[in-house]
Amino acid sequence: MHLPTTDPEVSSAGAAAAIRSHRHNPFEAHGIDHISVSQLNLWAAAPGVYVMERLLGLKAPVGAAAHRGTAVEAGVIAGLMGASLAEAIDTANAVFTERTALSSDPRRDKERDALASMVEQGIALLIPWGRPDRTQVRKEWRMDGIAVPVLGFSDAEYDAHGLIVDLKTSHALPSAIRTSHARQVASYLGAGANLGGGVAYVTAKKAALYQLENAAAHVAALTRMAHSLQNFLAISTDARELASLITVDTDSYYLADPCARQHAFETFGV
Amino acid sequence: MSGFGLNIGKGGDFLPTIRINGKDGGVERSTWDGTNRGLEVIDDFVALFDFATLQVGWIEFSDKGLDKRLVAIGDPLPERPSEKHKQGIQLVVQLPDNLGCHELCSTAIGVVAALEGIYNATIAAPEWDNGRGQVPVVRLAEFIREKTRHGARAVPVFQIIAWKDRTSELEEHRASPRPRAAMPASTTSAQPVPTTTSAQPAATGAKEMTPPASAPSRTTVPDFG
Repeated sequence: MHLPTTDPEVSSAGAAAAIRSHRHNPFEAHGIDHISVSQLNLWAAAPGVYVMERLLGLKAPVGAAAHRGTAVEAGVIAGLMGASLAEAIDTANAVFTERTALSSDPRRDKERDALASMVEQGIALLIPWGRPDRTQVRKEWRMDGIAVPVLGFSDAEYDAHGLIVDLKTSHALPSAIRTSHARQVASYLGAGANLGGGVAYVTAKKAALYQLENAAAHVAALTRMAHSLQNFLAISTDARELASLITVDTDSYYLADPCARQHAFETFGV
Repeated sequence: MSGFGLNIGKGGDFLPTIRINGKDGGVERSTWDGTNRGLEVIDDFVALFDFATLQVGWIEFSDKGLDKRLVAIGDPLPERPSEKHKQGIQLVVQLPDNLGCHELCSTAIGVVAALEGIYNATIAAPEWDNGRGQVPVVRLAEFIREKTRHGARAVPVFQIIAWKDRTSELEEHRASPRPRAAMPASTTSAQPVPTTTSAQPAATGAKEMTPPASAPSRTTVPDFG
């Protein structure tokens, strides 16, 4: 058993060692053993929400829109791997039902209604590229100067085309890759890899596959975002103290859920 | 490159050659058994086409041999040495089965146009990665015979059947344009280091990708060592 020491010199030496360790890996003090691109995107978009959810553990229920994305992705992948359209739609419905069985999100039925069309659009968009060689590929890599690895999963990889595709669902088709999505796909490509990236956007009526540009620049942006997060976490090992340094935009999309809004009020007092 | 700007002593001298007959069709390669030079017909021409070795300029085919005034893509075209010199191109291709690197040089309009088509397809492919990626394995599928007002010609039809990593032999023959004031000081082919000095954020991409015309070829790819 380790008893707390009463020797002030030993005690202060231990504290100094702990501080050095945390300065070396500020993530460690907050129980973070890896980061993801979506976490970095959240940190960039809403630092207060990041602190609330990731450091204080005050997570709001995931909305039906997020589950729709997961479900459509499962259905499209099933279709690309050989399942019939009906089977692929069944897969999407099954995943959505499983994920939203206890959801009170008022958009749940609307999202469910869109599943079949989105799966059909997604398969029609990607089937000309053939059967992916790999799906849901784990990607773990390190950024220079960042103490923890970055972890993610690419949706589909095509060796014959040297292509990594990420599937995104939306109710409106974007005319270009969104920056947060560009960063995500860029992170899958890896420095110097001989691969191209694409983002497949799927709506209930349309779909488009856009070619990623400037992957290296997006990885560089991610690295800078990670450094800002690491520097922020190094300020204190106390998440409450970190929360006191920032605040939130209460009209933010991230606080649309009543539960998230309540958490924000309790954390930041606004 | 020497101080005179000449590519002397780079190991790229006196490569055997590939000749594509743009008039009657057919492909030959030069041979050398240590004593005699000869020509060998290639029935099924498949090779690694490395367009990073591409040079363009003026070429004269004469009884005395070839007179080539070529530059890398990106360098200004030299003056035309004479009326006998025609615009042409040269690239280094590597044959399978340890036959090694050869120069493919042509001024024939049909051959050059066919090579331009395969060049455009190559540099647009993600595998190419701006010359830092892989090299296409190209097959000469057929010759299309045409009659023109200048006589008969045979236009080769090239197909990319696979991609392979660039070999060290091909790397030795890479053609780089000369550094100019407007170009970055470093002409290294390494991945550019992300910079924070960009004046504006990087674009994400708005170009729609079109699927391949057909399923990827399953043609057997020969061994390039």
